[in-house]
Amino acid sequence: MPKLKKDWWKITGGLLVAYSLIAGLSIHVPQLPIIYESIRNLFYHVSMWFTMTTMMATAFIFSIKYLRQPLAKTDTAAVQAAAVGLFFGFLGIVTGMMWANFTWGKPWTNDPQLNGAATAILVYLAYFVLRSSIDDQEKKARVSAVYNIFAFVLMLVFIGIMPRLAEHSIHPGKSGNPALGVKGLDPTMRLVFYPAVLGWIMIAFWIWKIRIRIKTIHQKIAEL
Amino acid sequence: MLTNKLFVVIGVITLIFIGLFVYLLFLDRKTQRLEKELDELLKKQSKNT
Amino acid sequence: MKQIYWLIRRDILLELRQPQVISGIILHALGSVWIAYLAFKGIIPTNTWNSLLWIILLFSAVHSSNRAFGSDSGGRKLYYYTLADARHIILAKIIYNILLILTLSAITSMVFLLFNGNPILHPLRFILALLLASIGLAGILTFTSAIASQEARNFSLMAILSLPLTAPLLLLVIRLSTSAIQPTVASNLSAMVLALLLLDILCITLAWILFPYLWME
Repeated sequence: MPKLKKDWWKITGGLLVAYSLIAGLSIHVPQLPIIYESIRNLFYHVSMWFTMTTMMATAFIFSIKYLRQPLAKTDTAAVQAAAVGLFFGFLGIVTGMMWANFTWGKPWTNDPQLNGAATAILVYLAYFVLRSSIDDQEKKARVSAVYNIFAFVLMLVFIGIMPRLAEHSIHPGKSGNPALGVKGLDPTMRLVFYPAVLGWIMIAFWIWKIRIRIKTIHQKIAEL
Repeated sequence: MLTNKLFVVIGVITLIFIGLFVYLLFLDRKTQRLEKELDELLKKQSKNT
Repeated sequence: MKQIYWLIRRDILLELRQPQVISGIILHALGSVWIAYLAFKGIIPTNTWNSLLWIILLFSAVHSSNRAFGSDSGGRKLYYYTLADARHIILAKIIYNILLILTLSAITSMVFLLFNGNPILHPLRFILALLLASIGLAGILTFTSAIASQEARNFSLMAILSLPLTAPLLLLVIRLSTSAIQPTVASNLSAMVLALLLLDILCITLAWILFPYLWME
């Protein structure tokens, strides 16, 4: 494997996720009512959401970058980040539905966190519909950058602020901090959770980079 | 809590993940090769014109 | 400032000059109210009426904002571009839409209440809900109208873009107006109103910042 020096983070990402898979299933976890052992899903299901948000934030940053200096490669970076983010968002929703069906009895409930997540997915799906409806490259990039910025800020509102406003929610750790744990996160679980999130984010960035490169190859070929 | 049977599950999941990871690496290398090929083609093109 | 006032005036005058357009929208909204009444009367409880009303209001708002940027032809758009600052244009359009949506919502709500009796116990909250909803909807919908108008092809694009973005606003507003028809004291009423207000300001600010980039042609 040549050029290991600049690819170290990809290997690290893989190692971290592998670690989270092994450790996440082996360590002792607090047995909480209703969820019991399935609380291990925290390492995997919640990691998906953190990864999605990170990729969306990347798309947001590159959208802003594009508006300040319109370069085709900046636009490519922004779209691909949104695409990877959407992928992880789908994984999050699907794994969430599986988990919900197991613990709460049904795959979907009227919970603000779930609604916020679903809305976020819809918003970004609309982003891709928007892109596909504009033909002119420059206009496509500019308009979708504008929409992306608006959408990301509102997404932060949906998934961050709305759940906190909710009066009651069955999502673990709600009515207060929607992201983490029950009585803060158990320290042993923290040892697996943080590396897991970090690992998945690195993998997501890797996928993102590859997608950008493939897209760039397509563009160069089209110019020939 | 950790029975022998669970070790198998951990092993299976880890194996699947390693498989996917190796595939990702393969895609990464393939993309690099394609990029190099393309750049050389472009260089040759600009030299000829 | 004077530019904004002048732009709003222009929009209002244009609207009044062609009353059939606005009447069409009002009729559409009233038609929905009527059908809802026929279909759901006696079947669903008061809370559901509330949500139903807001859905009707949402769709008529989307319908009416759709024309915000579509009515001007290309040549006229260029004329305005050279005359007015982009930020003034968006602000004027938003304010105009606030007035439009507010009027539309008020009329629709009144007819709705006419048909279904008036279950509102706290009118102030309901009016507040109407007001905050109109401001927020105008902000978001004017913005998406600006985006959708760039592409003359797709009518449904406006709806696709608008519906997810307006979902949280709608949720909050429905909750606020539900509290207007409950006899109980709402627990986090001030939090809701504050959140709505902030959401409105956020949407308008975002639209105001981002619009100039859309307007470049």
